[in-house]
Amino acid sequence: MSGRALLGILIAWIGWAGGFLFLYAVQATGCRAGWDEQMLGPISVLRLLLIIATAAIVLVLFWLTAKAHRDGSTSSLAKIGVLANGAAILATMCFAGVVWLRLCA
Amino acid sequence: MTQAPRKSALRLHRELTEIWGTPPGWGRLQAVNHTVIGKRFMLTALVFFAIGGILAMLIRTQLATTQSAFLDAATYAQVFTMHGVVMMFLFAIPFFEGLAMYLLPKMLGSRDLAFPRMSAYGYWCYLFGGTFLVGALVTGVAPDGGWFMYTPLSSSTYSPGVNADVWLLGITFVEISALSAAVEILVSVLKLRAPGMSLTRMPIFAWYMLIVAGMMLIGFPPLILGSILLEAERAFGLPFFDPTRGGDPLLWQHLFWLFGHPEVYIIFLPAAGALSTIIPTLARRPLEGYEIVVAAVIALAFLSFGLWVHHMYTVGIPHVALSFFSAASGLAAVPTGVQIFAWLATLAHGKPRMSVPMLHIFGFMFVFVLGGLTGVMLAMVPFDWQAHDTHFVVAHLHYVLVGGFVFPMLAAAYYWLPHIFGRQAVQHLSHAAFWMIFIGFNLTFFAMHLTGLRGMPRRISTYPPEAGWETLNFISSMGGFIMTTGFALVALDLLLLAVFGKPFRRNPWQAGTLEWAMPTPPTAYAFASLPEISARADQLDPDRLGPMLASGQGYLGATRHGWMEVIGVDMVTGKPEQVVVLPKRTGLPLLTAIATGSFFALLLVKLYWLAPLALLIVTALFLLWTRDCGLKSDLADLPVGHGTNLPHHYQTEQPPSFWAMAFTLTADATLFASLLFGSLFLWLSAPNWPPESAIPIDVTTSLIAGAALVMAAGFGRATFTGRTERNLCIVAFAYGVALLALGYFLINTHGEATQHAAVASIFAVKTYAILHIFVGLILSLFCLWRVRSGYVSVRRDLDLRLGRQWHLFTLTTGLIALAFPLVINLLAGGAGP
Repeated sequence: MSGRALLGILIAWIGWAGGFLFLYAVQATGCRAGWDEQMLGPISVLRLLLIIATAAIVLVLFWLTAKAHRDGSTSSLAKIGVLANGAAILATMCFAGVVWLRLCA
Repeated sequence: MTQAPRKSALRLHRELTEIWGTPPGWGRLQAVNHTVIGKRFMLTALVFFAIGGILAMLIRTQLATTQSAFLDAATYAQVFTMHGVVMMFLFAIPFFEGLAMYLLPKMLGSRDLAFPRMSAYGYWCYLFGGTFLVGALVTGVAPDGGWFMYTPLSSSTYSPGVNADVWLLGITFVEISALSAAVEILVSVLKLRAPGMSLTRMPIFAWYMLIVAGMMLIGFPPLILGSILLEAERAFGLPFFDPTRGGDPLLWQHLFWLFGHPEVYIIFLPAAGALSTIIPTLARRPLEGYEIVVAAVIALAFLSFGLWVHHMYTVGIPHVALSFFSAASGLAAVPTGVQIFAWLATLAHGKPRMSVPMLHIFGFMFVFVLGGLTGVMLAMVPFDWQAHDTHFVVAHLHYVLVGGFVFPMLAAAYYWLPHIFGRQAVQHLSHAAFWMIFIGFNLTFFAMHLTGLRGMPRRISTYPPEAGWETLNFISSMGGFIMTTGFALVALDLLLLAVFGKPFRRNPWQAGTLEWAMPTPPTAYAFASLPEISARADQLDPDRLGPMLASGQGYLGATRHGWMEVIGVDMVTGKPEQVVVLPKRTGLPLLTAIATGSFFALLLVKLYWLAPLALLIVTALFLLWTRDCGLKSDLADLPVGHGTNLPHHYQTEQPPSFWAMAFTLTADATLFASLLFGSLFLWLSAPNWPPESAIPIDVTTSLIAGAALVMAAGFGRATFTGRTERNLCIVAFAYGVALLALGYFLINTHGEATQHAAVASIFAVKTYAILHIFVGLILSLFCLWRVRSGYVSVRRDLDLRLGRQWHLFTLTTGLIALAFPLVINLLAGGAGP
């Protein structure tokens, strides 16, 4: 129980860190494999993958946050959890560059 | 207070001092007490600070004028490298570790940290490692490649002497103390608190240290891994960083900055924790936004791990990846700002007491905010490209580190020294010292922004007169000497405080934290009895609590069997759940640190064949640590006062050592993940991939080793039964088989490992697995001995459960290691250029 409660205040940030590494790894692997040059209509395969991954990360963070706070507790620890997890969701704005910035140069 | 309790309090004091105290003379070498070790850490760190300061003066003397002949280029390189090394690794981190060790048990209402012998071992490793580095400076073989030791400059081709080895081995030696402190602090904060002190009743400093310790656990392993890989390249030719053989110098930068950027926050956050403690006391008002501040610190901790490329903007990373790191760097200003506004709001709503600590808090606010602003400038890629590697960056980092660490630590020193010495400052010199440091600092480093913007690069020993940098550099140097004089005055002031300060009764600042609810200077046992906490532990009344606890009216207000007892609590609620019995003082930490040091020394003098012997001695000494741990019979629950009975920690599900193992494995997993990341990075980015010759894959040995690991983990999972001895024999046998199989593979491939980084990566991953299997073998034999000696029963199966954690971890990492050659082969063959 204790471990879960502690994890509850960190969960979205853990997800954010995992998402950060995942996006960085997909971008680097995609550039190595030439996915940025394979086009799907107006958009490259790599950009599409990164946008989908970013959207998935945001959704997962919302889901993890909701799951961690589904008991509706108003305790001080729960308040810290809501603030910390909310901040992690906001911090996904770091990944916004996948929409328009150059992917491999 | 009546006479009777006073008599009883005196008797209790004598008994507790006998149990917890450190004997004089040679007995001091056996000290494990947190107060003693904490003070030793801080004092040693201050000595290193003085050494680092002298080196800074040499730098400033050299740069004061153009074409200076004061130091030659080679000596200057050693001086500026060692200035950074000493200040970052030997001063800043150890100083706050010492402060945390000294304060945490007292603030949390406990008597000591969870693993006092580990604290002592960490201290000795730090002292010997630091002496090793400074000794190299005195003998002229100090590191000279910059404090971050970039490859290829630090590779054996361009640094053939031992200078780089001194850095790699010395820093790894010192970092043992940082990792042991991280585990120590995490477990102590989570498990050893006063009954009733839930997480959200903890004093804010404990929150900061909890988060910082978590950051250290994740942040240091990449640095240790990088050091091991670079030393392996220098010593044995494994080409991780050599681009001609499939390596990449950028791998070093990634591994170093994966540690290096969180390191800045690892240094800043303890200081911020001290500020969050001192400001409310001096403002006579609780910290504004306690929960928001905790959430901000959590956010800052995670964001700090998303900034490492912030130092590598100019190495040619694609725009979109740069944007991740640039945005995260900018975002870090938000939680930092939240804390600053919380402090300002606390001051604004309170009635601030103007005092010397407050003066240093003002210094912090001014300097750190300026450093933060230039940090936001440098976080922006276009500006960073212009200012990269110039004195502007040097100015920024000093504004952040001196502002964010030195000024708060000076405030902390003036605030807590009365606690350490039992005397208050006379303050004849304090104000003058502050202003000299403040003015001197700003003169030195503000001018450095300007020289940087005028294009002056870092690390140059001379510059031509026509560069136009001389006046500003001269101002910087003068400022540096004024600042140094200020620090000398602080040292004198603190000495005067210690010797001639005014004695006081209790709690001179009228603080609400528990460390003031004890005699000052503190006794070895901290509290004669432990308090029950029913409010936030920074809003207590030490003046009322102190006498009550001294007279034994709290928990554990009596001694038993000469045991060093503290209470272990539920991590979140603070509900008491066990009596933790700590081990006695011993000289083993010192001996183990000496043996550990001899291992590093043997590597430095290249006696590689002898180094494993030192490791075996270290292992044997660690096994000796277990002599006075454990119980030979089941115990009934122990009365702890207030009508409460609690089990001995050996008879509980999750004692401190259970969590220590979990956290140690977390650090270990980070190191392994960094190793895998490094190998995959080489595949992605390094030139000369794939290797010309085939990557060795030995399916037979992998299958044998894999089956043996599954068997070891399977039989190692079993709980205590009549078959435990048989099971442990099978575990040991299985590990033996796995060792032989993997050893055979390594012997057959070690020659190829020097040919290409792909094989070197496989070699490194498998060596990692072998080391873990070896430890698993030792653990299984140790458990077998414990079972046969009667230390294990159904209720006392902690040894088996610790082994179980290790076996499971070894299985997981071992199977990954066994599959790793296949993955590399697939990647190199499938997606090679």
